[in-house]
Amino acid sequence: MTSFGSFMRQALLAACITLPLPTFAAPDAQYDATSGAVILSGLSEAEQSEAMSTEDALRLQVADLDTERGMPVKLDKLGADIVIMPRFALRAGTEYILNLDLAKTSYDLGISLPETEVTIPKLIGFAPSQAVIPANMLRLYVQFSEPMARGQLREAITLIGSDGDVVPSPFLNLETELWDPSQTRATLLLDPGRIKQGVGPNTQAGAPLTSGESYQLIVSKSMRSAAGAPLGTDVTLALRAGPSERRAIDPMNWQILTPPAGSHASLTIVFDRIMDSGAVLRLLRVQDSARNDLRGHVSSDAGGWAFAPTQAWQAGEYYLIVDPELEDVSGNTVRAPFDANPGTISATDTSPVVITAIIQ
Amino acid sequence: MSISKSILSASVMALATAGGVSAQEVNLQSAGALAFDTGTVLFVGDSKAGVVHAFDLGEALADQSDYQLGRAQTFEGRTIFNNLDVEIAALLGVSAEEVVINDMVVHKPSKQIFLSVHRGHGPAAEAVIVSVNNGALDIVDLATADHTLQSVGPVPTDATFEFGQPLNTLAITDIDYYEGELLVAGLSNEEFSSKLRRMAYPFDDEVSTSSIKIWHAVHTQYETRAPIISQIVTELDGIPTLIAVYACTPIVRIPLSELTDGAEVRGTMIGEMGFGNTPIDMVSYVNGWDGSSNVVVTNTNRSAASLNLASVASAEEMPHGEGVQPVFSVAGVDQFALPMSGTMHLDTLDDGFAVVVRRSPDDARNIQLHTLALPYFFDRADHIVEMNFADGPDPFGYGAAGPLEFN
Repeated sequence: MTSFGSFMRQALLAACITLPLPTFAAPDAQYDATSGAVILSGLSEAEQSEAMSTEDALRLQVADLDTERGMPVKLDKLGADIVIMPRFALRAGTEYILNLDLAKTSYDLGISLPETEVTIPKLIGFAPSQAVIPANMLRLYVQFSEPMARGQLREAITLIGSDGDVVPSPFLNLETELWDPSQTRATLLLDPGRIKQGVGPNTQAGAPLTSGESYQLIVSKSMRSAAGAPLGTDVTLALRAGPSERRAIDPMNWQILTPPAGSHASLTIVFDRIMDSGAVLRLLRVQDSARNDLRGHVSSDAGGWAFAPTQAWQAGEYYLIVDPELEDVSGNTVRAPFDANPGTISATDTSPVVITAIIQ
Repeated sequence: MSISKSILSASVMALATAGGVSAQEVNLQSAGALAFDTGTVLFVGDSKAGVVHAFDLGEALADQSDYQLGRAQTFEGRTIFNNLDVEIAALLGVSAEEVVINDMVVHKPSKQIFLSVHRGHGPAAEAVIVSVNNGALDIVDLATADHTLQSVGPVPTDATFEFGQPLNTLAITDIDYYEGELLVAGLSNEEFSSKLRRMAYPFDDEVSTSSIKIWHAVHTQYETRAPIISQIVTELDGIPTLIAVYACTPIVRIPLSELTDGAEVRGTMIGEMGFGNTPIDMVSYVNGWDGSSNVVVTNTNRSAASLNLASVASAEEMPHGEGVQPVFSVAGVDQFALPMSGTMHLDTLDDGFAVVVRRSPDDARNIQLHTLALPYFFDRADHIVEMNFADGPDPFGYGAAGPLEFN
């Protein structure tokens, strides 16, 4: 670099440093994605000081909210700027307004947070998925590919009968929706009052499902993910109701297929009915002859259940432990049917049912 | 330029970290059912974490006795907030659609109102407790409160099975405090259980469970289990009694003394609330006009109903036997319909007033925080009556009372 060039650069730098801030500098608010703060710049020293020290001089809020209220924020000076740290993280895809109300002037500064890319949710499964389900089915699950927003189920899910008419109030109208922790699986409870025999809702409105009839469960295209993306198309799930299942679960009616000793093959159960697909994964266990829980991989389609052990089977006795809380899809347990004869449900008998499986 | 920007970011980060993370975000995974003990402890049902939190708010509670609630003599309540969802949205920095008000409770000694709120509808929604302090909305700083918690949700297994993450949860629908104990009602997403959870406060890590069966049919042909959705403990003829409303709407009465650990209890079914409906809140109140004790039940899809406790105490079991006609939608113990519609949450403030989060009778889009005069939970201004018109008749002298001016 020439000495002249070097001189020019020095001079320019000096000019930059010594130039007074233009008095017409407009304040500007920028969102700093790294820290989540809003940086307010372009204020005079007096304005900065006033903004920092005057209550309610700064108000950060979502644009278009019809209120004077702002978010709680923490203010810090950073050079000539003010760092505004909101109590809650600003939301992507949202327009905010920073209102600066000073003695001599006021500003409304827009802060626009870019949209983040959202994945379109899909309905990826439902259970029970069997062709025919009992007419007194208590519970069904709908599985989505993305976390969904709460508070939509009542509006978004409709049951249509084979006559094309909407089945009125088939589901328990709960204030709280039932989701798994990730909010990808919704539990729908058919109104138990309409399933239980002899209760007001049952005698008045009848059961929601009738044996021999076909139904369509429609999940609305407007059902949104937690990130705000709708399904986009209506999803129709076909159901066909068969005879009601009103017997207690009796594991003696299960077909248990034992694998050969020395193998890692699955111990398999074929149920005599459709079990609750959620509970069946948790509430059946396998123990060895010393009554230690076995490790392994479990899978189930609610009609059957398979357990593949981590270590090979030994010849001898194993135990299948059936938790008394295990339910079939109609809410029957090993202790009692969902509707039991008076005096027959024993709550005190909470011991699990133990089935012996002999591996050879 | 890029260097100076990253320096700025680093400085901003330093400032942000210095502020610290509020313990509220750390402690609360979700905020649902609320209750107070008789002192200063706020209980918060956290379904996502499967726990009940206890926060001793102590000095943070502010006396509200100078805040005017309305004029009971002329059936006039006070709208504390119009568009409560918008006001909370402004506080939380989201649009009003992203605000979910899950429950409301009043700290009776101070008359301070508390709301459990979610910021968003997703699994990562932030949970906050908002208080109303003499007409101002505040976010309660739980970080400064003494905090304990009790697990009530699904017991984590030792995961000997591989089937992905366990998906079962317990949705806590109601918490009630009665004489050193908490009763927690909830509904599992994988089991239809009638377990009632009962625990001492201060927490001692012991949760006793009773399984309550109910004589479930008008014919008493069947008995069944069912989760309690809403409940209240009150004294009936001097006997502490649980009055509970189930998921399938029957009202059941059970003496508290029967609910021992592991007990097998058959509750006495004394009424039905009607189908297509589940209860939201059960709140007890004394009718100042006749001195009677009552419980009011608000519902998702029906008007609220009041149950007189003397009637509850003396109510016969629902009729049964051959030849009994099916009951109509609402049956059993006398239920007095109250003129409350669009009620989302209810609690009493004192002997003269209740407070509701409700949809305004004039505009359902307007969610109000509003007081209602007891004992009829009735606001004259909500109804079109001649007495409300300036030149209308004034048989009760409401006009003479003059317009209300609030502080």
